[in-house]
Amino acid sequence: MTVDDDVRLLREVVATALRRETTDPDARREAVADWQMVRQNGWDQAGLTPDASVEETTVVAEELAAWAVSVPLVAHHLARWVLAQSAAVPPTPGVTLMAPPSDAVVLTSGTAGPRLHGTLPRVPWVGLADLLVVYARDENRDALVVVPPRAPGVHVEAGTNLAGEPRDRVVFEDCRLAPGAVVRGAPDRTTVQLRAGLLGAAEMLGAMRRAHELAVDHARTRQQFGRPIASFDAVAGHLAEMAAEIQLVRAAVERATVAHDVGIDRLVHTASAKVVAAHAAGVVAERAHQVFGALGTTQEHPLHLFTMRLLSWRDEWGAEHEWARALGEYASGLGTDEYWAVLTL
Amino acid sequence: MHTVIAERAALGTLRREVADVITAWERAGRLTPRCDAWLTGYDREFTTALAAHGLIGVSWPEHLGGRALSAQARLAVVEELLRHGAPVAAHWIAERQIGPTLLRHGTPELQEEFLPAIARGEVTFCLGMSETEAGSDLAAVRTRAARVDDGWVIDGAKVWTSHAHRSEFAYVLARTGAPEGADRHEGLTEFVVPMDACGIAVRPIRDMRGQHHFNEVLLEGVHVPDRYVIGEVGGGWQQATGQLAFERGGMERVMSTFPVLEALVARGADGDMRVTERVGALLARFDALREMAWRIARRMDEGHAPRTEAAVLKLLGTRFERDVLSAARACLRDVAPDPTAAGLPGLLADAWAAAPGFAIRGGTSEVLTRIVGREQARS
Repeated sequence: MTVDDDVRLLREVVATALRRETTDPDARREAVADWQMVRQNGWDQAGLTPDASVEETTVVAEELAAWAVSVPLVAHHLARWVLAQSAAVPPTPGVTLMAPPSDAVVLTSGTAGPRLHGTLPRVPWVGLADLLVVYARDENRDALVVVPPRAPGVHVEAGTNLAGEPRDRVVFEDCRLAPGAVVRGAPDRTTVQLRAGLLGAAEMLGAMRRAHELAVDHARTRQQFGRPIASFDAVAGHLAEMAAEIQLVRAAVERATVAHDVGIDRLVHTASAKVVAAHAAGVVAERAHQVFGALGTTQEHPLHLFTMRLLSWRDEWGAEHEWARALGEYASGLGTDEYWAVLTL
Repeated sequence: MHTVIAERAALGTLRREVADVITAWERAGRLTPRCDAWLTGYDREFTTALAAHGLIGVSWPEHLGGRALSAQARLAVVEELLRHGAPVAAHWIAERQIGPTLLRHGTPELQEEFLPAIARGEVTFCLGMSETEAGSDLAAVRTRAARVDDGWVIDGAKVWTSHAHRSEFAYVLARTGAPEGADRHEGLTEFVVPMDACGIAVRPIRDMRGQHHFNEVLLEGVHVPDRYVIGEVGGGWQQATGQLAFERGGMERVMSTFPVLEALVARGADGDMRVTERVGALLARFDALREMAWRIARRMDEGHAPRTEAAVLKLLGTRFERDVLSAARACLRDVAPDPTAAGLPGLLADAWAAAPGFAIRGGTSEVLTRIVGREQARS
């Protein structure tokens, strides 16, 4: 496929820089240092200029994941993006991160002013955040609020996902909001959920691409029975299945990226990308481990930086079953003729 | 990339042309949606009707009966036909791969002799490739073509030749060089063979449903003139493998069970979440597979023959076709497959009986897996 030259250049720049940075792939990476590196290179700004294609962000997300750099790129981008799309926002100095959009938090407006109640079970990178951007239900509408995670009325319990990345439980208990904390004219929750889904799929694409590359390299060099294990059909089969799934994901992510840029049928193509990526994540994680044998299950070997993240990410920014259901409901609601018309434009 | 989407959107008029022919056939009670219609739905009159509307060979040059449209335009036509389970089997092989092969490798005379006739729906082709000892291992073909004064004499036997009993011509892959040698891929040649030539016998092979589309084709001293060699003598292997992108890279490797998928989407409207989720998962995959097929078509328009991408599409697509049936079993519990019934039960019975063929015909999944794997070893 022809790719916009600017985006291709961006991918090359990011990959080259990361190749330099990750000279020791087995070393434990420091999130704070990595986030500094991302900001110093300006990659946190990808996709945030007014006419920018979201492809800038998907490329950066994919590359960072492929180089095992675990940072709040997506949460940061979503926060900055949604605020830039809003009419009136409070000042947001410091690291400002999006909490996964949900309907579990409620905004009440009483005599004591606006307050937040509710629990967000798995919020990424709260420890790095100066401010969280949170969707809350305000009667029948979505409200967007900006709240410091260390404010009174906010209880944060540290937690991690399967891959050990920070995913904290954030409980709002009668949390009083500062004046102006409610953002005016913000995009609705669905809009942000769709953008999150696309970026989540792009991250998974990076991780699965790298897991597959590692597996191919290993299978070509590892010798047993006097020959590379890649020469055995059963092993070659694993590599081929991974390659096939990854090609499918790439096609879906690129289609969804276009849908976002032109603003047409974003739900259909984002849901497809997220569901296909989630399925592929499971296939690639399992088969990559199978190719690597016991070595791949160790702390020392970098494979888990990709496989365990794949198994975590497949149900973040919306679980696979939620996205599948959303797409199914949409299609069944339209009926087969109309849905076909949507697919074929 | 946005221009690409705009290109696809512009094909709406072409899709409507196809839909009009299909609607007319439906109204006349002549079109019952069926799974696998592109292989088993044989209707010469439907072929003629499509041809009359200029819908066969749309991507071929105009002087050869086409409309000089892109491979993507052809894909739009194909999608509409497959969606409705239209009976396109008669002209499918000729249109999908013989025409393109003649365009790429045939002499201008050969192109003029066949393409307009195929586009008019008057000439159909069957594929004489597989033999009893040469299935996945196609290079093991033993059918021989020996040079004589004014042409060739062909002796051998082909198998799994769909619709040979009613095709005007056959494409035949035959050995013209020595079988032993440095490379048995050398010494193969592609031929056009008239099915009414002296020395051809066709024997039916009935499938599990009792249907007849497969055949054995026996060639005994069949004489073909020199002009019926396609491309290079001895160049058959390269040329034949070039055909594979056309044979494997299309939506008929994804949509053979599409009528069942549509039944599932309709059932999803009842509001059962388990059904909705399962349907959504299938639709997600369909969207992505479709995107791959469109990319393959675009690559073909750019002059490539994307073999590996086509292999991936067929590998994943035929698996998807069977996943649709599994989902039907899980979600349409009140509908049991019934070969004697009309409607959905009959559709399911047809589909389940056809399903074993999906991952076998046109390249087994095992072979495709190897192709995809080999590509990785190279890169």
